[in-house]
Amino acid sequence: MKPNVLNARLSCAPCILPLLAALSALSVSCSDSDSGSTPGTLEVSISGQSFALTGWPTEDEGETVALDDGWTVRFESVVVSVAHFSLGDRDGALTGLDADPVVIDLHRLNATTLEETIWRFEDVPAQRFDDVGYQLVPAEANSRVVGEVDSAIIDAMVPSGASMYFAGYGDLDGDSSTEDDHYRFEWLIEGSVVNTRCLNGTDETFGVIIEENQVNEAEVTFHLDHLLWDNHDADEPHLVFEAYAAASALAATARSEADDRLITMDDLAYQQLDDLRGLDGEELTLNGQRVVFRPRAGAELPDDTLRAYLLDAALSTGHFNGEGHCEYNTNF
Amino acid sequence: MTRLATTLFTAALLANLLHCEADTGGGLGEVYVGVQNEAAATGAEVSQFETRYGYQVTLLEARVWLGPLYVWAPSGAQASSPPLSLIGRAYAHGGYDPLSGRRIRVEYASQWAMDLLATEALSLGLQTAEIGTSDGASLALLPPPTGEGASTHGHHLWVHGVARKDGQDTEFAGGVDIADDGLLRRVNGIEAALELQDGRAVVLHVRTNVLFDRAHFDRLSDSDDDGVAELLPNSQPYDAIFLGLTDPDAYYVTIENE
Repeated sequence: MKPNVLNARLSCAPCILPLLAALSALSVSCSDSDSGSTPGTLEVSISGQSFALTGWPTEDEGETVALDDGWTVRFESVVVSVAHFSLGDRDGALTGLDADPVVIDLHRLNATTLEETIWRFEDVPAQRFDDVGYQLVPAEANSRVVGEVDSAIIDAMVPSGASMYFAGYGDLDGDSSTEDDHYRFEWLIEGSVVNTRCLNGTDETFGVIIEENQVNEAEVTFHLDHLLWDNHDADEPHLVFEAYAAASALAATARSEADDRLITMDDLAYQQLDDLRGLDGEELTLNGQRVVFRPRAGAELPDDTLRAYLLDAALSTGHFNGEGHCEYNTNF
Repeated sequence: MTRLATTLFTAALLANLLHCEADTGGGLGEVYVGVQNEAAATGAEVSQFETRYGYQVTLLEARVWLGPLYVWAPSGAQASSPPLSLIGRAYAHGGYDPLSGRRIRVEYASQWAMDLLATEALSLGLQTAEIGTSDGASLALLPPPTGEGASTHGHHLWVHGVARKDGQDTEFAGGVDIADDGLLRRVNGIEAALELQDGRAVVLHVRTNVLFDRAHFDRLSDSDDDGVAELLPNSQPYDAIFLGLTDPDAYYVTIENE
């Protein structure tokens, strides 16, 4: 007869009770939180880095950053609509964070600090949150405006469901006073994105640690160079603008109109990603090589146009604490 | 404490502790891995198709090196311990890897040369897999292994065919290579919404027409003495095939009975 192992073990119930009690204490919470610790504060700022203010060429950390095709690009507005900053761990999202919708012009941030605080959360449990997220959401009429934002821009964003707006110009000779190669762009980015599981650009871990009784800082960071990348999967993509400028001419030709040198989102639909054209109407080249735009890995573009490419590029410009990427769930 | 109460208490504790672990699926099993041309799977002609730009293409020869293949668990099912490994992180600019940290359900770690004109599915064999849900796949596109590239003339892809448009035939031939740069040699976002089960087959389907769909075949190089236009780098058709080869829409994964 085989011994009843289960019964044999259970017959020792009194001796395992202390162990069960210890296990019970461990299993009260799946998180790393210490229920007895003092909560902390989290201040979340936003930044478009120096590029939002200066465009290109510019000096960045002692180096000149310029477009590879020689164009000068300057921003006049970089308006983003963000909301729903969230902290979560394996137990789920932390409730009670009030990250209201905020609209802000990153081009108008302080030129020294390059950032602005947009949310402050008190009494946040002191622990690691490994799922940090936030969303780019369509601007609303009652969104909280931080700093100066042209009301006309918000008026344009709200009815179109835009979560971002970029305006500025590009010049091939760098002289904005000459009109022959001066192209303005006004891009309403209609769509939204849910950023989740953001990597912390400071320490390359997922999420953030809230230290007890401290004012902890985090930053939602926008990388505007992504807008002009030719290849989102290459280690060192080129920065190019001519494809965008040429879209204005392509659209004008298609409409049998004169080129107004104003690049709109609709114009970008005339540039096919598999056959990009330059200002001369010929194949777009850089240093003698055809330029091929490749979207980021896993992007689901609605079509093969430069418009779709820019939409996806724009909606994935959001990062966390500098260089940290998130998982981007775009909707456009 | 009664035995029953102790049993229930212990079970509850274990359940609670297990809940705290990452989603580890339903344990390990084995699946068959295979690959097939979509056209062959649907009974369509594998060597002929029409492109978006109106070319009637007839393929005379077409082979491509594919693999490794990864089938991913949904986001949130976090990576844990071996035996299922992870692709290395790539957070540098660009080459950002959206799958870093994601859990792999099935990993077929080898390469294989696929004859795109084959009408039969190619079985790659039995593979250990983690049973559970998947929501996407990635396919690496590595160059042929040393000494094994004869069928593709040493390239990632080799094609020989004829494209007809407006009554004009263009015969073409050539190879396409993919640079070793960032994630260029990886196709992410492949449709693979599966419920992986032990003993079933995971089949990668290739949409051959998508590989060539963007090419303007009238912009090939001049034909040689044999009347064949060479597919050369830095040309629209070459770049178009590169885009097709790395387009996630060119592939999808299904689960089928073995």
